[in-house]
Amino acid sequence: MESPEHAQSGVFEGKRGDDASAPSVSLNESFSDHIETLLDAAKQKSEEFVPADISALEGSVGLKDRSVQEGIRNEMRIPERKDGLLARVKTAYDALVGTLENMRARAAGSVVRGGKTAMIAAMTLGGIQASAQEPVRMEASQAKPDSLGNAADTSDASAASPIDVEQRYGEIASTEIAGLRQNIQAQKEVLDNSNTKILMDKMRMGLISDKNIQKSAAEDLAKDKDDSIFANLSLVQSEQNVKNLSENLNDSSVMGDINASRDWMVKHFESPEYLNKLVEGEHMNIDSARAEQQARIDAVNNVPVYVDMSDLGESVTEFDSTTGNPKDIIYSAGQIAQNPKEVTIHEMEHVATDAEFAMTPEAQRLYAEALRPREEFDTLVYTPLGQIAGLSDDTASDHQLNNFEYLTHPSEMDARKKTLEKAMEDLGIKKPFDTMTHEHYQKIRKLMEEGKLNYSIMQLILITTEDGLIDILNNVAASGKAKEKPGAFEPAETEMVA
Amino acid sequence: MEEDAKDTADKAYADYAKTVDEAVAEEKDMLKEYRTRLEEEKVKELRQDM
Repeated sequence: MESPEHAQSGVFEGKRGDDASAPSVSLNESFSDHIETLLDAAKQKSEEFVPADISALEGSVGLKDRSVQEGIRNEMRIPERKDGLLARVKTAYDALVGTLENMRARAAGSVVRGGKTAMIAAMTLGGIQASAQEPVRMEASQAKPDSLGNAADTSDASAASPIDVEQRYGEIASTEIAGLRQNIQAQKEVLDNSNTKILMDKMRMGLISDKNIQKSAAEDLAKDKDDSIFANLSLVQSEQNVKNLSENLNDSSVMGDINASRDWMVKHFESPEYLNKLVEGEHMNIDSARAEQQARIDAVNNVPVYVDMSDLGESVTEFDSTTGNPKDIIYSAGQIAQNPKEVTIHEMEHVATDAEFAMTPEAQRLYAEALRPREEFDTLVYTPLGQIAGLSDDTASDHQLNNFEYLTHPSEMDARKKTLEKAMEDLGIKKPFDTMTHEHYQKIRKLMEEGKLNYSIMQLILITTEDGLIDILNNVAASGKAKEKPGAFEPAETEMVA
Repeated sequence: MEEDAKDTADKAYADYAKTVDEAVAEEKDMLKEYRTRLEEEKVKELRQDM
């Protein structure tokens, strides 16, 4: 048997261990060994995919009429599909190697230069401070601006040559775009080759007159419906993401994206309507609500933020294990490049509410009551919408929770609610403090079914009932910082519902 | 913390392995379908020759 095409051409080689310029580092041996094992396993796994030998297959059947053979090959788009599969595996392999090597570099406290960088830009309100040497990431205390809002003293870090964040951001966005374009192509192939389309074309052309075949075609058509819906949604969403990324590259910087979202959050919290929601929706007394409002503004204004330029995974908000207070936000460059507005607002909302620890009991109750029953969630994961929204992944290892527990966590629902509010404003559906109605719900539901909403917003819509989602949008401000004040969560004049 | 990082790395590998398995399965299906189509045409050719 011939060697796999990818092994011959070496597309899985040269992606690791070739960075002679990387500084020597003291690695955490056991973790490093684990990564090495995974890298070896990945290389071995890649060899399971052997690109099809089409000419051998054709030769074994031995059609005399080569034009018929060519016609079928073209109709089925065999060469394109074969190339698409190889590209998919190659892209996944490269992404995995990049992720693992960056994790190893980060664990070692090193900064690896070059295409598979582990460069981390440390950013504060005052601008970008970054070091290509060390430290990998500035401590939060170093990065905090002073009381006047001036950037922290970063003379040590700025002494080193700065990372060109725009360039790195651009590289990541370009990679994302390339991946999305592959996805678009793959989904187009699915649609072009779907039973639905082929059968409908044949029936339209009068090629299928037999009643039994027509019946079978109708059955196939029903079976194929979900695949087609999925492909259509995925296609629209990927195209939208390419548009987002292209616009981000042209119109904004990483820091601009983050600060624009931070400004939006602060303005949102400063409004009298927000204060009113704390009092009326979440039953806080007015003094506590005012303290809460200010605490939230301070928290979002002051939280140090970093962008991990090596990370294409998830962004995280870190909490101090002793005090439980938010320490910093580390944005994944991949997520920032993909959808800057939503990811920044999502993480800043975690800061504003101290994750779930400082949300009012009333807010947590409203979130719990808004949920669909678990059995409906279990059904949803197999639908096209559920798959597009990523509900089908039953483990979320980053959070040590299964996907249902993670998505239904009050703080995760709250962070998604905030991004939904921003998205509805951007889409011209309603402003954050306008009353949410069933008409508004139908509009976002339609946009979701057309594949035009981001997956994290889809998750919130899917896991909640219509009335539940309307209820949380109308009532939850999601309070937090005033938790330690006596009586802060006691009902004001409004009666609590048991 | 290290355990979390290991879990993340394991998950990344598992996702990759799944991608490979799916690509292998998809390619197998594609080839099977292509062979079926070619063989149908071959049967027609043989009938014409008979």
